[in-house]
Amino acid sequence: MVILQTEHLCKTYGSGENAVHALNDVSLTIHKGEFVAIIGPSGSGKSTLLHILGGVDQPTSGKVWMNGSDVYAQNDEELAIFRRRQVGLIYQFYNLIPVLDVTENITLPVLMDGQEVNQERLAELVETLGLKGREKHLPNQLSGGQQQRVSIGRALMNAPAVLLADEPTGNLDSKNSQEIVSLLRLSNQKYGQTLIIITHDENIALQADRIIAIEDGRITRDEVLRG
Amino acid sequence: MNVFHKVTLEALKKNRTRTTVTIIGIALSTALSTAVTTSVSSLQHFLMTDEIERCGSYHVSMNDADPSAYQTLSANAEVKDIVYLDPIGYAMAGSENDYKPYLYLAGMSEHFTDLVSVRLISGEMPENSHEILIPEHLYSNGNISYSVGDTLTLEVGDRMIDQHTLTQHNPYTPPEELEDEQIPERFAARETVTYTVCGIYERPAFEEFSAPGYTCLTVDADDVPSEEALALWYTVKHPSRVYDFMNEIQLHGNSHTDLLMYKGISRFDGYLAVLYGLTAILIALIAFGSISLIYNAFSISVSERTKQFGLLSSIGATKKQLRHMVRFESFCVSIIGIPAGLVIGIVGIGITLLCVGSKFSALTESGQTMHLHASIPALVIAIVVSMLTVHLSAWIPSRRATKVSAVEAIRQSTDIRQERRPIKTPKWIYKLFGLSGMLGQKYFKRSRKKYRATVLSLFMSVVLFISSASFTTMLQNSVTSVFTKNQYDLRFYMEDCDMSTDAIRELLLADENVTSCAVTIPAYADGSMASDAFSEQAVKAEYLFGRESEIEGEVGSFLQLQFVDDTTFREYLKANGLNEADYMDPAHPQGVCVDKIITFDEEKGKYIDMNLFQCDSFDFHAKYTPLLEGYQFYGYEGDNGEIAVYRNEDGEETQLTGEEARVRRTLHIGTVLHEIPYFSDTNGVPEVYYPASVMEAVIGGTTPYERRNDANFVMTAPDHEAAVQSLHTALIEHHLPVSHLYDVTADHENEHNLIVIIKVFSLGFIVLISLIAVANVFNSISTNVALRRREFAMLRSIGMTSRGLQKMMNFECILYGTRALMFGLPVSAAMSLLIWHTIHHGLESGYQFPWQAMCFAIFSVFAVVFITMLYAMSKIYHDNPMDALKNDNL
Repeated sequence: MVILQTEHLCKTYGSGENAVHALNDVSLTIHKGEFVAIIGPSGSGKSTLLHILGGVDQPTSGKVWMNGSDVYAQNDEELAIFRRRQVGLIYQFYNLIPVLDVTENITLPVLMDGQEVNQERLAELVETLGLKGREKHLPNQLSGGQQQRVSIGRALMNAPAVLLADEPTGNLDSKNSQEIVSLLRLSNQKYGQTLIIITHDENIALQADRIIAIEDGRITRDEVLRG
Repeated sequence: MNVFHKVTLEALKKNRTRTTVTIIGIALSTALSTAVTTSVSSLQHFLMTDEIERCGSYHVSMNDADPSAYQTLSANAEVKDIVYLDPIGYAMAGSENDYKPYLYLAGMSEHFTDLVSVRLISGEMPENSHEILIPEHLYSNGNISYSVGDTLTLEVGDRMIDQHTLTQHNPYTPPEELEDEQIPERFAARETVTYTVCGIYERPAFEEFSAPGYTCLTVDADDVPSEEALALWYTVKHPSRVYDFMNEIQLHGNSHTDLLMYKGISRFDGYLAVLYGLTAILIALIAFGSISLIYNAFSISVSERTKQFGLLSSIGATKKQLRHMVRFESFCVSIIGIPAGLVIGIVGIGITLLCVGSKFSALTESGQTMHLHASIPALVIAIVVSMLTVHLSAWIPSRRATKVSAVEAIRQSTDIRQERRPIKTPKWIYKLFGLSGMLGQKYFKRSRKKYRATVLSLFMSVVLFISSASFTTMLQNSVTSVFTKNQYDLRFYMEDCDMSTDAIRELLLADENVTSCAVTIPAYADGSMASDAFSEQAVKAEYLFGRESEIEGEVGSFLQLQFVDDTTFREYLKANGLNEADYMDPAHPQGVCVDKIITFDEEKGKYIDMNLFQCDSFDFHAKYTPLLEGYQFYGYEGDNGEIAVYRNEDGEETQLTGEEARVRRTLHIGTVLHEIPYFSDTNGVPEVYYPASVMEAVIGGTTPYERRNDANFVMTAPDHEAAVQSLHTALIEHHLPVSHLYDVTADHENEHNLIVIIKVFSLGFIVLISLIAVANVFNSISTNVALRRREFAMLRSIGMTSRGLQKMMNFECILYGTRALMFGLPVSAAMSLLIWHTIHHGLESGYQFPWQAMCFAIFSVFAVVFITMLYAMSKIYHDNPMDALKNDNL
């Protein structure tokens, strides 16, 4: 079942002579539950693609379909709600809210929705993420690996259909990196979430079901490893 | 220009808004300091001019100086100018003032008026030793009048006790007041001299209150001081050394302390200490407000550029070079801000004084106008204060910037510093305001120090605004409560005048500037009247409270009687459609009552009009004390005051008792009118008008009748100043006392002017300090928002809507506002109460809570905060969240 589809996606920064084509006619289809690794050199357009898939950056042209609906046909308000409920974003630099503690950061998307926090799910997540005992800690009291787990927790809290991770291990040592990937893989398998991950790490890429290579804003390789 | 200067200039250019706000802040702060210092220097100059106008420009005066002192001083190189008054002698004046029986004749040396103030009222200065200037108070105080052109032949001589000659500094004691062993002074005539009166001048400041002679000035015949005790006045070349000079020269003299004080030479005396103290407080307030603004600007600029500092530092810039960068930045903004502020301040005060300078005449005797006087020290102080303010504001952040290590700076990890403990927010905030409220509260709590500057500047503006607003209101109320305006413009009063009142009235009316003139002779009626005559309004206002009467159905009351000249009264009757025959018949006198009074309403805290009666006519039962031939009423004695005591000229006493001691009169009030005529003396009691021709029939044989010759001449004059000028001449010509003429409208205007001055200056101050606060709030809020760009982007990327973001910011605004008001409002209320306590003495105005000012302050605080936030957020909304997130990531 197709969950995510792009059609002739283009993203251009600047104009005229200074125009930079970050994405150039990218069309791809991703199925539900797939674990996709996007690889490519710096400046190839990986992050831009991921952000456009996540509804945080506007494409210059082309379309993104999620669960059959046109993502960028929505207004600002709807787009914000889409980001809150349909996707989970994980960044290299965690981007946690410094004034909120671990629990609050994890539950942020639920709180934003004005819904009651599912305590069972929260406890399960905290347990799985190995953050037990640190619920009341502020981000600056945690190590990098722990902070990244919190940001994964935040991405998973609303059980989104798609998890988008932008070099989630780029800032971590190899032990922490492996743990994080395992966690992501676990949620991919356990909850059937679609996982799209950008990485420079070949080992991580090789754990994916499918590898998409991007260069100069174009897909140069789309290889299914298992599935 | 080295690379650091270039980087700094580029940074200033890049952040155009913040640079502009910083420059505006510096300019405002300098403008405010300049305004304060130039106001003070202008005031000082104004007081000095006034002092010179009133007394003269001398530095030292000497009474009864030895002629040798004149020689010594003239020969001294330190003395710049010296003048003297050579005593000619005394002459009998024939004055009515028992303590001032003489004319004191003295000759002025050349250039006398350069150093000593002689203010002419009419005529000219004497040109030779046969012309003489007569002081005005010879008439107003001594009742002796001369006109310009009169010739005086005087027996001139000396005042002697034994062989001692007395001077102007030896008061005169009338023989009947001398103790037994005291020898009376005698007058020893020397010669007969004839003088022509060339002018009338105001009582000179150098004539002491107890001086025995009215000082008449002529010209010193030979321009050489005589061998007698002189009065000397001199100036020194270096006024700052005047006190040392006086010590060195060993001659007893009196320094012109006030003038020297205004020149800034002297010990710190009361007046100046208050003035300087107040200036220091104002400047401290300005500096405080400005430092927080300018400091914020620099601190923000520094934190925005921490990364830049880190980069420079990592490639080898020393701490000194980095600090120098911040100082260079402060220099760049000062070089525009400070001169601009100086110009704004000077021009501002210049324009203000141009508009209200003339109103300062209310504060002085000489009626001077206050002009702009921007003295060098005033400007230097303003510049130094501003430079220190800027320097201090730049110094602190520059130290902080260089303390951070290069890597930390590059990572900007200290930008938004955070305490290492959880930030707790009450649950109700989340329940009530949702996630946005909770986040807002947490952000607010996180960087308290940063917010403190904003809250503090808001707090200061609130307190300053409310307290100065309530100060002006209260002052205005108290002043207007003392000076309720009469409808007439001028008043002239006469006691026991030889000239008939009609003749004086004719004289006054003959003046082209006087449009109407009424003669009123005041009297009173104390007694009782029917209680049902009073209006509901009067009963409600407790006007009758505590007034009892021995007559049943009546209450005790009081009427002010005014006997108005017949001509005016006739016109008054006609204007009100009343019949002359009913009111002008001495056999059946009837009064016209005006029942409108102006009374202070405690509840409303202001003066209100009230009509006392509800009837058209009534009878008033008055009780008087009878007149007794050859005696003067002395007072009542006995338990119930039933004995009237009288004394005659020899001090012999006689008494009247019981009904004998009372004259009962029934006053018939024919009509009650509600509009106050121009000749009324509004003073909170109902007035009854009678024609002067029925006076005897109404109060004849009673004690008030004794004062039947004391008359007030009240006049209306559209141009009251011109009228005073022309009347002065007319009064002097007719030997009537000029000092008995009052310019009531001018008095009222002076009071009003005082309020205008206070209002203009306090408003100017409030506006400027509020502007500084606004700039401060603007700078700190907008930069705080800019620094949190990444956090906002983060929130948006995980699904916070723009509305949610706005809600969060609104909540922060509310926190700023309420925090500032939470402290500001109670402090302002306390301040206004304190102000009321200080100025309410002797005034009946009650404390008024400054509601209006408070409402305005609340509105303004939120308006400023919200508008700033909207401006700052509008930039954030245009951000692409991804750009912001990517920004500065390493």
